[in-house]
Amino acid sequence: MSLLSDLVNLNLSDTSEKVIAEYIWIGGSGMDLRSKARTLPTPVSDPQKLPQWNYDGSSTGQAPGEDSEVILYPQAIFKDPFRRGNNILVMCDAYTPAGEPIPSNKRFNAAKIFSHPEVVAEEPWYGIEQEYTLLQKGVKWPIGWPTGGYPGPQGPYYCGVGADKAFGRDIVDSHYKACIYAGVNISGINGEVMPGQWEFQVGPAVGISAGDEVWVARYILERTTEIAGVVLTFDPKPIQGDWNGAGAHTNYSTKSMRNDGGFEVIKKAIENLKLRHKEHIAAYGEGNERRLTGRHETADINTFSWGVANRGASVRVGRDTENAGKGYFEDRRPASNMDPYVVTSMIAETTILWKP
Amino acid sequence: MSLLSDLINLNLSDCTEKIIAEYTWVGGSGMDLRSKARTLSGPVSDPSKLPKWNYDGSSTGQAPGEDSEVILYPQAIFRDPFRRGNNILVMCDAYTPAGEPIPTNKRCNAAKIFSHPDVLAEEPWFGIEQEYTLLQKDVNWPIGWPLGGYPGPQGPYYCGVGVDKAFGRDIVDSHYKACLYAGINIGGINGEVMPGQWEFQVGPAVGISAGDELWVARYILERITEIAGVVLSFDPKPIQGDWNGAGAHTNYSTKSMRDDGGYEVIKKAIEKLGQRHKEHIAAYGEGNERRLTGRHETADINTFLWGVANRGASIRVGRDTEKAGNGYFEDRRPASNIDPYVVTSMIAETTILWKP
Repeated sequence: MSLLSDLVNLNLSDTSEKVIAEYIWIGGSGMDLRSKARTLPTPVSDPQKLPQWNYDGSSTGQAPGEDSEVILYPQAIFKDPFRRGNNILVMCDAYTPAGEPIPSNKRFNAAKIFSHPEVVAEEPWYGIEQEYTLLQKGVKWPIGWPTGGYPGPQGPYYCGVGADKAFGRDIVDSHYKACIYAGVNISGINGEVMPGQWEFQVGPAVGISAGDEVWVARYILERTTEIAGVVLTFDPKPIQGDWNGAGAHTNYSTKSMRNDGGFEVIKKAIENLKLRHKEHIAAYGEGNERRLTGRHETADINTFSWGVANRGASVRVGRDTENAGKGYFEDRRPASNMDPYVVTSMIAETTILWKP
Repeated sequence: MSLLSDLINLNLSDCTEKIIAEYTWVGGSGMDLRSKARTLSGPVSDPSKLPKWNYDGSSTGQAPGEDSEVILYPQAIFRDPFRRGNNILVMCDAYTPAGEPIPTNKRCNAAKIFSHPDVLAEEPWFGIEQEYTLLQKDVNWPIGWPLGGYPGPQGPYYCGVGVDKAFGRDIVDSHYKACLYAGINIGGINGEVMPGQWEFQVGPAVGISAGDELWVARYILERITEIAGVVLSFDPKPIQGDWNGAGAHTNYSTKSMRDDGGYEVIKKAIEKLGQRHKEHIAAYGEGNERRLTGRHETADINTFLWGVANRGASIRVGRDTEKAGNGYFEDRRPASNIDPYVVTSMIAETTILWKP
């Protein structure tokens, strides 16, 4: 239907100054993304200059019908890879009309932590490895898998190439370019161990922007799978049995860790994380107990362990960090369905602010 | 069929001054849009400079066979998003050869009301939220719904993203850009609560132009669904049961309402609307009784009630209007199949001209 694509691809910059802004927010479940669009009279590049908006919170489980307005505060702007031109995506968070963050608004508290002077001084960097699984529409079985059956066991699929080893690369590659176009700091992609599962990485991003960028990258991914006719899932253990789960390993460093002597700072930080293991696990994603079993490159959910180059540990430190005496570490516990605002701010809070 | 699209997309400006004008009018049912095209010798941007035309009213239920000519008076020009170049869409209304508006011509009376000095002085603004449902061709069942069955219950679809939550976005997004290209004041779009249902907003538009713009936006939408092979429905309650209906909420303000002290003017206006509830309801769309049940974010059709931020009321005043002490209000009673000429002029008449 090229006539339809002629219209979808109309470049309005030729005829109008007007710009379309797609406002994005997180719905009542904490994982459902929502968005709607509005016309602005001219291009905008500063989120502070965008108007606040509102939506029907009673339709997203975030407000009662008799008092349904929830206010959207624009927080970050990205270029819209779908509408292109001067059109934009706007990541927002949600407030009551009185100006209080609604309960599902996790960004607000994260922003507070990230603006604490001690945290600001440490310039926390994040690199998040977002894994996800693609499922066939209707049957909700992974793409490329035979209906009612299973593919050959894991082995050939990690970073694999070929029609029998890589399922859905067109989605992954479109997403990669779309994110770069949008201005999301996407650093790479790879095919994962379970067939039909993929990973992209966002970062390094500083403080609150890590959360903004992961959420917008997730939004772009869900719009892309919508176009492709495929279901996107962030479930941490989509298929039971000898199949890998999906995580959101969070790589982390502070200024002190990146400087000389950083390895000692890293070890102290990991010690803090160990003491708060239960609290972190509780915030690291629903259903994570199905994934963190101690098998399939995970550490058991009740155990905290760390090690250099150890993919079976809760926290892994890279050999290059050990050799250099400074660098970063990888928290492998977060599930694919974690809220990056929660996880990033909690890691910063525990390692910088919290005293045992 | 790239050869066909090469032809459709021919840019005639290279070889001729001639343009094509698509004359659009409302047919005998009051909801069926009709159009036909003619060649003009050069570009035209002023409707009063366009020639009047005529059509066979006996084929649209608007004239008898022995005296079938109905005259089209051009009223508004928009750029043609399908033919592009200098080609235009022309919104018309219909008259007898003697110059009388035919019975289905609702624009004529609306234009009279909007040119009344008291109404002109109040500069009435309208923002209309047009909801509509997309149906699979032939079976007339909503797109994305399984044949012979139902999707999961309402909840995930409002502003939803993803192949299992948003059905038909390419139509909606083409329509958005096509309308902006055409010069329609389209304010935004969003996915609605019932899957397969969407909404676009036209406005703010002043006086009679609200009706012109909404009708042309509807025309562009029906041309786009025609391209996409999908059926467009403005039925106010397309599916019985626990599924939302489709409305055309009409947001409204006058100069007095927008000025300081406007909130009192708003309350008086709502008071008058309450006294003429039955008359308005009779003009607010066929079949509205199936939609205005008191459930699914509507107020019962026999009840008139208003409230701030209350989506279960007949009239809703936004929290920002309440806070600022001036602004606008939303009449939530009109069904998706209203005639915007009738509704907008009636609201203006009741609130500005009518004395209780």
